[in-house]
Amino acid sequence: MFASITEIEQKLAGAGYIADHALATTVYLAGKLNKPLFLEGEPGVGKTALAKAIAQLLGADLIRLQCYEGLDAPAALYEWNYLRQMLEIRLQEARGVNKAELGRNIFGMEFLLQRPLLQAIQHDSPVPPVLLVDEIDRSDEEFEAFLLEILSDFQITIPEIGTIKAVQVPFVVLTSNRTREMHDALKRRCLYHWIEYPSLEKELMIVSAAVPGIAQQLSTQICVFMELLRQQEYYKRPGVAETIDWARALLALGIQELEPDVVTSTLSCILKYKSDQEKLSGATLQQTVARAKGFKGRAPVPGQRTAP
Amino acid sequence: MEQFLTHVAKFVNGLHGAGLKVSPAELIDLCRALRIVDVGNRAEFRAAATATLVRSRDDMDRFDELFRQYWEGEMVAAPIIEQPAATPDLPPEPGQETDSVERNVATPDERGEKDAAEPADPDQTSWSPDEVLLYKDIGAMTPEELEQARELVAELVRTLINYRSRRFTPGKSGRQPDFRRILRRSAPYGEYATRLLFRRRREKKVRLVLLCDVSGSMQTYSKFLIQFIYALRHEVPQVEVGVFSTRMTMISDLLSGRDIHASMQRLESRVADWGSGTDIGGCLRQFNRQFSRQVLRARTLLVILSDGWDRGDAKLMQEQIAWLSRRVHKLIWLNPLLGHSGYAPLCRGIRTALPYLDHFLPAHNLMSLKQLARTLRAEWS
Repeated sequence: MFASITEIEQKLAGAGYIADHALATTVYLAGKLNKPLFLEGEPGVGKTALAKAIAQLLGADLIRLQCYEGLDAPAALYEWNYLRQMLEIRLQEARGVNKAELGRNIFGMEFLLQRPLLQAIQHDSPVPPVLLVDEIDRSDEEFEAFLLEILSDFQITIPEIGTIKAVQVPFVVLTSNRTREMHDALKRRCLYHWIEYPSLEKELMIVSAAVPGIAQQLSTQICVFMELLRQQEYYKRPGVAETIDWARALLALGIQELEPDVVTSTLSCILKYKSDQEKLSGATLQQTVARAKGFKGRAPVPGQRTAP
Repeated sequence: MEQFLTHVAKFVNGLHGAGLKVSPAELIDLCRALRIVDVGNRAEFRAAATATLVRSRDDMDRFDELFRQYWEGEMVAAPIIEQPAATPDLPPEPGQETDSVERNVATPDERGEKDAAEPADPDQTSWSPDEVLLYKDIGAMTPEELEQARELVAELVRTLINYRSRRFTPGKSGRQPDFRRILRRSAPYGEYATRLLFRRRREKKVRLVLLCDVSGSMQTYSKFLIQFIYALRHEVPQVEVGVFSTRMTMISDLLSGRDIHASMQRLESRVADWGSGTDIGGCLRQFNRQFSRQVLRARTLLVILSDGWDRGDAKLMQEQIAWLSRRVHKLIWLNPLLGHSGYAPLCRGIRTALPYLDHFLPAHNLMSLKQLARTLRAEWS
């Protein structure tokens, strides 16, 4: 699947995703050991983006399952096509099929509606697909149990048919915003990686890769500003996705330098809660802008690993 | 190589000592991974070990520390892992804690006084005892009355904790036809089943999280509620209890024991700040940071029991309450003082928290708890 760890790093960068060596190693291992990759991190640090980048560099199809509370087997695995089944019985009747034989074959594969997980297992293509199970922390405990069979054996058991084994093992990526802990049984089947907010240098690289044409001065100010924001207490701290959105917005507005009023007018790009926006105003705002503008190449305190 | 594997096994052993769960299957995964990565490259070795052995970010710091100890410098010769100090779960020495329990439930003197006082009123015999109990302040109840009260409230809570899940379950009646079962049943007969089968929303229990203030003024009320939850632990399978005054302590595991009195004793020996002052904001922050991920789900009913007398930072409390209110289904604050005439929520802390609460209710007697049950039921259905 992958030749080496450095190749992954380079190819991911080529796909616009800046990964550090540890993450690249974990991706490499996931491919080699055929184990799902379990990515956790604050919202907007690039968990979903990584799955997309992996699909892109493998040239594989991306099959995505968005999780939500109440997600159940008919929506995630498979469902019978009841309409076709009923029509089939009618047709058989019309054809005068012997009553004992009637409705015998209505539980075949052709009457099955494939949902993302079954699709991923049945996928027939030169390259195995990438299966993204997104925001699994939104699902409930019952759903985690559905996943266990797939994640460890890459197979699905349908009572009417039997066990369907994977044609080829898909590359599975699970993401979680960690609003709740997942069950140990699920995690044990995966390789775990916590994606941290990027360092200043890394975030600069990400911005210049994602927003071509942005001036060095502005992007530095943006990234320093964001790093300072993340050290403060907010209900929802801005992630890298917000940084990129904001950089794009400022570039589109033709802004050269951060100013308090510029930040205020574009605040909706970075802080998505009214209470958070109210917090970043007045003296706090002016100080943060001043510190971002006064930044002279020394990395600010990397006090990143903090809880909510 | 063999020697290297011994070191790896020792390292894993060390992780065990530090309280990180590592199964043999994970050790095997690590060994498989080490055949693939360049073991000479520290960063890759570390990434492989992290990916296969760590299961949560909470374990990351301890893992990093042990990793440094083993593989960078001090290493292998004398692994410096200390067993987790002291076992707080051990029952206290006999005779040491027992007196404090009794003091908190009700001193023998008090009990005697009330028993003597009550029969003096002849009218009371014709009253339904429930009625009397309903309006009596929980803080002033005798142990016998507390026992009766518990039975009363048990009934209330049972009706409270059911909600309709988003999952379906087969049933004889309902709104949605269950096509899967209908067709399965049809197949052997070669025609549509004569009887329609349905599916309906499954009844499910909400998760109940109870955070009790155990500062001096609140002890009796909190104790009542905790003992009451203990009595209900079979009917309410998903219940988590925390107590706080200057710091938050989760005590859910104590509720699984058989003997409530032993549990309460252990509880008091575990909670160092039992009966001291209150820092609500600080405690809630600790809860949000440390416990919320394990304890909270989308369908969580969070109940805070406190009189709101707070020596901490009111701003902090407001922020933490706001954070909590977004994470749970319903946020309820029970305040025993609210039942007493003349009390208005004047403390700054409570006033700033009010906008984020779904309900702010009195909880000084059973009648008020009954009121709570009614309010909730109306919302759920």
